[in-house]
Amino acid sequence: MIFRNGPSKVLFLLLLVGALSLIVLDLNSPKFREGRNYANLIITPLQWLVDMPARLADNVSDVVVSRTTLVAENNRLRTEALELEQQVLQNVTLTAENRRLRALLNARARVESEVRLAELIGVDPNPFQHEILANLGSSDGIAPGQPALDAGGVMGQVISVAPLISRVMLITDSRSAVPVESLRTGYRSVLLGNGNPESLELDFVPATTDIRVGDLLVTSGLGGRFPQGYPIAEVSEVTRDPGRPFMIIRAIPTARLDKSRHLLLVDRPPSLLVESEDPADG
Amino acid sequence: MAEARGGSLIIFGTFIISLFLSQLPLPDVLRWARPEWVLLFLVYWVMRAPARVGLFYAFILGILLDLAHGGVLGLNALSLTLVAFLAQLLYRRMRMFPLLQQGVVIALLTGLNQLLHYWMQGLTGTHGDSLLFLLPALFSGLFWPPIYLFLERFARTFDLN
Repeated sequence: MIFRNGPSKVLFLLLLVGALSLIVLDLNSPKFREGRNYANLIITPLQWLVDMPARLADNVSDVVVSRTTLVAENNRLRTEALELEQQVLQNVTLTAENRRLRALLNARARVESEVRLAELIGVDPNPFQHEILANLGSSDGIAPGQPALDAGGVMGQVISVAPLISRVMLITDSRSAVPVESLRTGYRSVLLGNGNPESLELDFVPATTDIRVGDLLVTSGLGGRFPQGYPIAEVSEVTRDPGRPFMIIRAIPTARLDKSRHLLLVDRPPSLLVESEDPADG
Repeated sequence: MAEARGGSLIIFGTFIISLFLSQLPLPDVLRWARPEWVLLFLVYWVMRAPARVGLFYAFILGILLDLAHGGVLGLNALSLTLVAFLAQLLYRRMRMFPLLQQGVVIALLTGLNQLLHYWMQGLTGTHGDSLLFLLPALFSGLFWPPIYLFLERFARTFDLN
């Protein structure tokens, strides 16, 4: 490129127009975004590279830990496993009873969801977006829209997939909105993220609503994206301003968004998936 | 021209490093305190080797950064091309400035980059009302002198131009 006369204005304008058309395409065309997921494959090695030091440190610390610590942890995990097994036993009875009662009421049976265990391999450093990267991708059958949970509750949903990696948008992202209901009263609303990593909000809650600090919010299942009944947040602030028609409600996520290394990806309810004609299709 | 090809590989290598650095997660407290690595490296190489690193290089770099970030595709392509264009206009004059003053220019260029990102965020979602989003510009300006010196030594070792 001849440089004597300064930067090429023509090339600059061309590239500018090119970039702008990419932006417009990306914002408006879902097909383009799908195609973009394949381009993400180029970046996958970089993301693995970035995660490598943390994994290395984890592996090293795993090898170096003392035997005493291991024995103690082993015992603790055994006890915990026993307690969880006992709860599962109770669960089986409750599920059966629930099914019977639903049948009595002629209500449709609850759909059981399949879960896949994934590991967190990256955190999006962009402070505008709250997103994390998980180590399952489209080659593992993960599709955009699948909810992600950890042991504490709902973390977010998958918003894009590459063949080996998927991107999960956390509930604290400003674009996130999850239909929820109060466990105590059944009051239904939508839980919004606002970019604050520790606090979520409920908008347009009438001042006469029965809602208190400490109420547990669970997913209501409305909207078909998140299955019903998973804890998502606990109400932390209820402010009634006499001058406003709506209260200000803030809630803290129950999932350990900044600490969980493992997450569960829940399969979408089968009724919402498009069945493939060819049985050979994976 | 084996030497030239080797040089291009080295330059590309430093950009890979800058992409790597840009993706490193920082603790929550520091999330705004990160310099724009890719932009810094880009401006350096446009100044040092304008015949090798030009507008098209910046565009491709921006695409890679967009893919790594997961945001709107084309946003970084746009802002990095713009920054490269301005760097091409300014580099002759900038070479004469002392490093600190160069840092100010870098801070301004990064500020422009941040502003574009902020606007895009406003278009597609919500954003906070604080001016914290400009903090990376300050840190980029501060990091310019050490990065410049580091890359200078690098370039001189491999005798790049």
